[in-house]
Amino acid sequence: MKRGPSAAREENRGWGLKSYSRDQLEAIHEATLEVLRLTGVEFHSEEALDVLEAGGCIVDRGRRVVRFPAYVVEGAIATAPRQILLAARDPRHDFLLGGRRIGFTNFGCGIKILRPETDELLESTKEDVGIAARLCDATENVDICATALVARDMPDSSYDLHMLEQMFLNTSKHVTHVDVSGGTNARRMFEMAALIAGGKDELRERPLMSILTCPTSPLMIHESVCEIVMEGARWGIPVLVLSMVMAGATGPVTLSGALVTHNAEVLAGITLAQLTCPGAPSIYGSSTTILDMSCGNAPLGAPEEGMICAAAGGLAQMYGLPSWTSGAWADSKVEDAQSGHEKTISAILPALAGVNMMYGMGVLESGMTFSPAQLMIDNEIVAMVKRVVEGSVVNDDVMGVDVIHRVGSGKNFLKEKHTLQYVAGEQAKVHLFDRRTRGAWEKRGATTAAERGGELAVRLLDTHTPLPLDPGIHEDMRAIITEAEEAGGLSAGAHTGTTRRW
Amino acid sequence: MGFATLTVEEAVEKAIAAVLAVDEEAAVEVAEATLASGLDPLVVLQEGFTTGMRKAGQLFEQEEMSLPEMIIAADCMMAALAVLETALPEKQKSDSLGTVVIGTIEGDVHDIGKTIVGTLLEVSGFEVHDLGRDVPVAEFVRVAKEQGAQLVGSSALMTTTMTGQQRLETALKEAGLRDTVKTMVGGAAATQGWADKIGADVYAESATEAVQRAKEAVA
Repeated sequence: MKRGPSAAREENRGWGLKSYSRDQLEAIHEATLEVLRLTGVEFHSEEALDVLEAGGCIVDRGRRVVRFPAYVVEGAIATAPRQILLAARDPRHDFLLGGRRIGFTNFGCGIKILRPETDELLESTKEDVGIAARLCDATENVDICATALVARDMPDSSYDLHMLEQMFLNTSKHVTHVDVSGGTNARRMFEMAALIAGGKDELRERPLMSILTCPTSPLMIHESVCEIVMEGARWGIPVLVLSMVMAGATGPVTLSGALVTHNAEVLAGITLAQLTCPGAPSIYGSSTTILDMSCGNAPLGAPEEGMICAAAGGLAQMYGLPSWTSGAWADSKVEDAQSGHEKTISAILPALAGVNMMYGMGVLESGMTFSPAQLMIDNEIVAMVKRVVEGSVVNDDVMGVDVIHRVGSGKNFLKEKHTLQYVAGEQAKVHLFDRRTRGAWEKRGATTAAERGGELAVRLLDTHTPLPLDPGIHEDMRAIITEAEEAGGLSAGAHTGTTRRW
Repeated sequence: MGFATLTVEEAVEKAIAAVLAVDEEAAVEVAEATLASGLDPLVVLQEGFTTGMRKAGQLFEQEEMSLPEMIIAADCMMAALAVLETALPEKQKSDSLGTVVIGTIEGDVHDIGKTIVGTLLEVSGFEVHDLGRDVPVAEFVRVAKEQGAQLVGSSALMTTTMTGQQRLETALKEAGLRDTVKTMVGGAAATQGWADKIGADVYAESATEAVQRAKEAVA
């Protein structure tokens, strides 16, 4: 049958969610400008105060408070790039951050690893940083590789550099460092990355790493954070300014109120970056959530947290800034029904809102623990979330009405060419979640998702080899680390050698 | 609404009720009525307001009272105390459970947990000197010495700043204070293992547990 083309038919490519309207986002922005103009933000760095003052801000040196005229903030938003290349040692893993494209990664600065081989909960070491990186390297839906754990057995002067060394050794995906100690080590890290890129200019063209840094809520930016923002801006390294307001504690208890405080902090940090170096790659970040008023902790698997992330995505899109929020996070201490729910609700809300990068894969215990088994489960959850965001196509070929006519009543579609043609794009690949009948499940060992995740993680770690790093480059990296230790000393590190049977 | 002359029993009952209702106005009225009725302010404080606060803490542990309610309840008690204090002979230090010096360790500016613990210790009967955030180790030692503290508590959120808690242990030893104070460590980066490693006396997983352990430590 002939079917002519349809004129001016609106299509939805990808499914999404409605959170705040444009008017509501504008209202949040206006409230933010009011806070930035009248109350301001504390910056604990003389150099940052100089940059901000030169850029048009009103600076109270005694109280270290900066108040921002609206044009300075909106000017900074305008100069920040809309899209950022997160380059990788293996260019096939290059990732474009921006628009409403979504991506996922792991988190971050955990201090414990839940080893699937032995079920032990161990304080993290430098070796664990490498193990986590190698597993993330092998895991399909981890789009870029973040540091997962802190090297607690390394000296204070260099622990973050040791972490970066492990990252570059164990993954060829783009590397994000979540625990940079300050400007001096940020610079050393960029020098390490430049060794791989082939020079400072090459690194600016292809930033092989990015860094995350956090304001302290409410409305304060610590000296080390100022240094990191400015150093990153100078090198052209993507800097993620990420706030974690705890609604009711370090910001208003209302979600929209918490967003105002959050927004002021992030825009303040991004303004510093842009005034330091206009056009610096700046990423708008959020882990803002509620403070649970019963237990006094800040849950990142809470539905409210997912809502705030989605709204943060909306703000970033209004500004034309790449966005990065928590997603696929859990407060549960184990891989269970709670973690399954938390991972999904915290992922799907920002994903449907088009947040560009969501971090949290592998997390348990609100980020304190990294679980390889959970990472495997999260890989599957992320695949399913991506499938939802991809939506569903409606056109003549896809609907296959001709096929429906041909098959008619009472038969089936299993051997139709149409089925074969479209099945891969229509259904997410599910390996870990078991959808079989009970009998079939029992025959296969009656295992839980956590057990299957653990087995898969062990198998991947046994078999996966990352792209090797040139030994000469590695040696030069180690020299940078040694220089840091000679300058800053060799403290023992915080590791206590604690182990616990789970 | 004003109270007529109260008996001790009535004052105690109304004090507890005011705290649990997180009603600062009522708490102050009870305190004023206590003085106007010529009752012993110390009795009303200890059996009334302090008891009310202890019950509030229990309700919070059982998740029947929320954190803001408990903190405001603490404010009610402090407001009542401010009134009753005028009639107490002098700040009866001997009745305080002990003197606490608390702060967020140098290099670290995260202080909400520490502030909550400080508030709870205060309403539990400790005399608390909260030094704030980014507090140098030497400052902890100086104030502990100056105030004759029984307990020194430090908080650290980050792996890098927690090593300051270890330096604090050393500094207290060097100042000859370590034998007379108990140390307490907290913050997301701290664990029981960490407390054991550096020789800190107390570690707790929550604010209310911290108060309980602090009381045990100085007893």
